[in-house]
Amino acid sequence: MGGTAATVEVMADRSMAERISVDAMQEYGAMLLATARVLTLSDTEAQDLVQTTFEIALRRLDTLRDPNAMRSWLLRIETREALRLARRLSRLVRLDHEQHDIPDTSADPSRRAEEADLRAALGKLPPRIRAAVVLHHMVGLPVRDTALALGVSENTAKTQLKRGLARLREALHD
Amino acid sequence: MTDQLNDAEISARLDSLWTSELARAEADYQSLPGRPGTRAKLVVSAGAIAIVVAVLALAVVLRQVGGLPSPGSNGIQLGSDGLPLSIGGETVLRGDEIAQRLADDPTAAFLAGGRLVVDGNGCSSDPSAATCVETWHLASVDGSGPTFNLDGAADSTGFIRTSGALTVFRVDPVARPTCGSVACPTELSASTVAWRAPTKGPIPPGASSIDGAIYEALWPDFVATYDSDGETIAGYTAKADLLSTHDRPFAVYGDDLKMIVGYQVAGQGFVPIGEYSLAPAPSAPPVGASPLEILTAYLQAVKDRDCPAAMIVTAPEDIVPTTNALCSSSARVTAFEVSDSGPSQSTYDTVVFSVTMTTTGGAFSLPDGPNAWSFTLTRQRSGGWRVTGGGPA
Repeated sequence: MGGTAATVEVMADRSMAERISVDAMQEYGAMLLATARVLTLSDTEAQDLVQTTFEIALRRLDTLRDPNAMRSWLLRIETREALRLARRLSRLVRLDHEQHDIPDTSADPSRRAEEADLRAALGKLPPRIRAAVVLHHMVGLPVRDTALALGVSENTAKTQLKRGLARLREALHD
Repeated sequence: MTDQLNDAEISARLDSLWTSELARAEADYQSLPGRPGTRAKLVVSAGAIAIVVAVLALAVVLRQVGGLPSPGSNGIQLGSDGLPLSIGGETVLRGDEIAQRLADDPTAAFLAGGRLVVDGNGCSSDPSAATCVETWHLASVDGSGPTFNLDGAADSTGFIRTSGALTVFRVDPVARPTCGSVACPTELSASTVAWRAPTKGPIPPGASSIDGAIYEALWPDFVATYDSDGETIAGYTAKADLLSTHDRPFAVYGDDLKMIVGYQVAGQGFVPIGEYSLAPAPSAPPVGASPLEILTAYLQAVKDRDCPAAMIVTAPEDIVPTTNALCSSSARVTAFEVSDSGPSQSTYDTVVFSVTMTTTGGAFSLPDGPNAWSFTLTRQRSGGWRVTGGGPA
């Protein structure tokens, strides 16, 4: 009897997890795509990254304890995959400043130029620092969640953010 | 040389870039036929699908009863005409509002929404003919309001050549065509597609000529696929798939254009998802397969661009990005050769092989031609071997 009850409970949990996963793809797909684009600065690689993120998320759904933390959890997976790509497959998937296939989309030409400069500056940042800047200053994750996504302490994340802004300042000044 | 920006200014610029990227991603994510995550949805159980369908049905009923705006992806609220009310806090103008804005402030940039319509005089019979001149318009959704000529629409970022799609364009005031010394009252200069909803349905009359010419701009994004009775719509297949040259089975999507309900198979037509598996379902090799056999199976699968078959011989979490890049990105593995001198490293539970992979099409990935790679295989708890790593040697 106890076994049956436990089985039912597990199934209920699983059904909930699967529902959450479908909703997550709908709700967070575009946000993850935008994040991937500024992390990789490549449309092609960004799409692959989002797909990989969802694949991994589906396999690891049972590790998500709090469904309300889905957004930062997905971002954590995506960021770590991006960094893994940068670290292990530097020739296969270049996450460096040479790669820019993101079109400029802004309304006016001056803003377009500004955004192009900013993308170029982001491209010059080392991947981990870029990820910190993107997650905190663009996506809006708190420092704590940014640190969690990067797998570092909050102090380290703060240092990376500080360095990131300093390097962006220099790059935009050149 | 300009003054250095302070942190707040840099932060503001980052925020502005993020707003642009998010708007673009929202438009792109909606319209990508091969949306990331689509494949993964295949694993969702029927029970979960039923729950989602029930929730969506309830939402539709509530919306119809209460006249509520409907939520689009990422929380975009849609008006009763199906267009977003606003994007990123910016109001989407439609119909007479557009005309009014052009009259009031001809120098303003704004978001203009409506139904994208092509006027392809002379294109239906032969789209490649010199007489085929294509112009795009933004009509009001219900057809009762003004219609605007869209200058530069086909060159705008994110443009998809499908007539009939509900679309929001960012209108660029700088490049707006002029009539004499003033901006034309019915001309819009489109710079970016800020949002669009994919279209679905049968191929309309006039989109294909008797002699086989296809005017694809008139095809919906997702073309109706019929059941074996030839009358019931079983689902929808992406136009891009149907117009491609390969003959692999194509995914057929349900009414929501998200859930896969079956496959369009050459020579068989529509096959429901429960009755057909996309490839011969990949089966795991026997536990006793050697590392070389496992690696060869993996490389053959990526060469065949058969991602599921490749995944089955991997320890997924470590090798997923590599496998995706090798079997589904623009780079194609056309040949491979495992070094015949045996593993370059070998221990009880780890083996490393040197492999020469010949690739093509990898502008951002692999250089064309032969590439020296090494692949790591790890013995699993089951005793079998799996590919767990790979990269340039």
